[in-house]
Amino acid sequence: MTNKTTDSTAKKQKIVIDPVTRIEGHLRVEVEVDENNIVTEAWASGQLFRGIETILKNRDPRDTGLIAQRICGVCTNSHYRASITAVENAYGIVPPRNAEIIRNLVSLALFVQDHLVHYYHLHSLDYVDVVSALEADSEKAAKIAHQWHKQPYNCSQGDLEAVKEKLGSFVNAGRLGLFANGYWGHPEYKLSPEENLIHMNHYLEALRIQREVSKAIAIFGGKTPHPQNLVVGGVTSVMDMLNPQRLNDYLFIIKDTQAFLKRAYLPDVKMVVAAYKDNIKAGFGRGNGSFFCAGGYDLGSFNSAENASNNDSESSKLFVDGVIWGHDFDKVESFDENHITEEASRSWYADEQPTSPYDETTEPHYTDLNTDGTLKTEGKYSWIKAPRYKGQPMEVGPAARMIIGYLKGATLIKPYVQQFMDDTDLELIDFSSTLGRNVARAIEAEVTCDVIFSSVSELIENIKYYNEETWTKYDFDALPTSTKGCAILEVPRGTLSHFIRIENAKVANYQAVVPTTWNASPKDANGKRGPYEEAIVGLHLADPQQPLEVLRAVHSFDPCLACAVHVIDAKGKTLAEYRVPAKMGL
Amino acid sequence: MLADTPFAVMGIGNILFKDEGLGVYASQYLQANYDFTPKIDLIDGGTMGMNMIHTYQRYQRLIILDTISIESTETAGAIYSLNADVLQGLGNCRKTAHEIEVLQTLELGALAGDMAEIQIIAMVPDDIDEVTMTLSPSVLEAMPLFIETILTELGRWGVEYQPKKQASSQKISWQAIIDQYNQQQALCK
Repeated sequence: MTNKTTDSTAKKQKIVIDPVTRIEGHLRVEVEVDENNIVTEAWASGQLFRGIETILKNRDPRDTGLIAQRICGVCTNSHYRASITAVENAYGIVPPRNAEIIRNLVSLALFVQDHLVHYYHLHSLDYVDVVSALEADSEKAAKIAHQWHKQPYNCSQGDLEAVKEKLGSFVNAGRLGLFANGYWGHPEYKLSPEENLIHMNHYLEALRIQREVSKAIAIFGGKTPHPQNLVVGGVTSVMDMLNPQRLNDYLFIIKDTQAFLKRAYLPDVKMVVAAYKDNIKAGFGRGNGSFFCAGGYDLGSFNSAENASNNDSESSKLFVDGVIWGHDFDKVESFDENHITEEASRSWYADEQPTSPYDETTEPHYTDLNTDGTLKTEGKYSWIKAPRYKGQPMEVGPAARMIIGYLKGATLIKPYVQQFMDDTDLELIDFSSTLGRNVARAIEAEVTCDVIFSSVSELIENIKYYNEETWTKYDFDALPTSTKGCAILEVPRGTLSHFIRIENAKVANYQAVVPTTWNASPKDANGKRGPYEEAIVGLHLADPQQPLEVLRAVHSFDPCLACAVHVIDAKGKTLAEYRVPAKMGL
Repeated sequence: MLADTPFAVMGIGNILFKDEGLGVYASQYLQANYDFTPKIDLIDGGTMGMNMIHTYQRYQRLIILDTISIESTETAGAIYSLNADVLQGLGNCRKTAHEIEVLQTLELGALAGDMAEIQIIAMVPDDIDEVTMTLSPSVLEAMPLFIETILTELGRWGVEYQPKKQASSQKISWQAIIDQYNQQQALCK
């Protein structure tokens, strides 16, 4: 990360943070702070043009899924499903319930994996001081762990001592490049050495757990890392579905993961909430309070078996759709995707007017940076477009889903959210904050993991009664040659939408509006800030040279711009001796 | 869960961005044109992020094929072959705008333990910005040496290789490998 301060006026100074993501992505944030170190303005900028949609044009619509999944290596399965679903939507093809369950088994496991990785490996070090953990008393730490769960996950004194030694040996060997750039010792780190050690213990455990979940995903996703299990009309992983051993393997992993969520992840988040409660109650990182959720994930038999009396179609889904404006929790509007537009008045594209994604162009119009390398904050400053709902910037993601789910009485979400609020003395408004987003994410991981078990039960029931259908037959040549459709899916980071317009049986236009586009949106023609920007403005920085508070706020949205480059960057290292000499005669 | 062979070659990169896909194409080129004894896994690793750690732990020895960015004015097509340990410590000390996954997953993998011994064979790309599934001429030109470097490394491990018997005596061409990715629907039928 590069932090650079320049004097823009006598009183205000500008701070550049580049890049923001810990592992994945390519994002820059500039903020302006006043003489009291309060952020007065912010600009979030995607620094890389990708324009992936253009490569989908003129292709066979049945091919888009396999190409769209390559948009992002982290969100592969989400893009794959969204693309296939958009084509199905365009053609009016409805996949059988079994296919939907299998798709859900992959998607739900992804929620768990993504949330775990985000919280522990991409974000927790904003709250957990790894250097301080090395000073912990492991005996004391083992006792503290029991305050947060009666059976804390692998938290005996021996476990914790081993972790301390392991971390120490890595740090001493100078091998922890990962941890090399933290703001260790920053006054805003509030956990005790023992609490830091408990958390780092689970950081390491989570590495193993997330790997196991990726194996579980591969059981239904088929070939990894580039799955081929989905086709327009259904899924291809029929043999896996009918193979009890594979189902067992899947469930075994999910069960262990569930134990980790309940005995490590949730207790750790509660521990952090307690230490940073003042930040939450003060609303640090609060956005403008406009949220939406598109809803989704039919609960199927889980709902009919356990909530037979409740015939409300909305609550038969895991996520309930809704729109909230400006933290007004008394009114939740219904969501309608026709209100989605994108504009580029402040983004490096030619097409500036708010446009429906079906008709958007992706024509770059780069106006460069200032000569000192800072953003031209008065003009265009990002490769990210500005998506708007009814013309307004919106926050998407776990906080939106948990708040809306709670307010609309979602069958599962409401009790989980209620329980957490009761345990930690939080209110719904607290979810609209830096740490609140992490709370929402943790609750969501727990809910989605629990739903997996009922989904597997439903699948087993279906197979038992010889309902083995996984593909809806269609005759491609009989389908309309011109049509359009979209998929609006809730995925781990927020709402993902793919829009496809088909002409002459080929892709005429394709647009993906991804969760990070909503949250990392730049300003629009009316000067309205995007959610990251809104969350950052008003923050007080303890030390503008170490803008930890800004990193926390941005990281809390789980930014993903992993559609960035994957080049091994060996700059700053002399590698001449490893150069392979060209040979004669080749 | 170990793989059923101790050896693997994994190509990394996003094939949508021209030369970024060179490692992926190379892994598929080896798959199409060579037989190996003992068997090795050839993996299209794409842009798998954290999931790479799983791969690091499934094998005893692994070759990663990727693009590499070198500070000097190195020309496109230059090839480097180095043990992953050489790059330890670079994971998050970037002072540039580039933040990449591979180095960091190597460090997280080391932290997780049970890592394969990893050799990185990488080429300096010409163009990783254009959205197209092709390779630049300078990269294509360097591919024979890239493949030979990989085969030599495999030889060091005691893996023997021989050209696959094809219907015609010709090798499956780079263009055919790239076309596979461009014509997915044909593959699925």
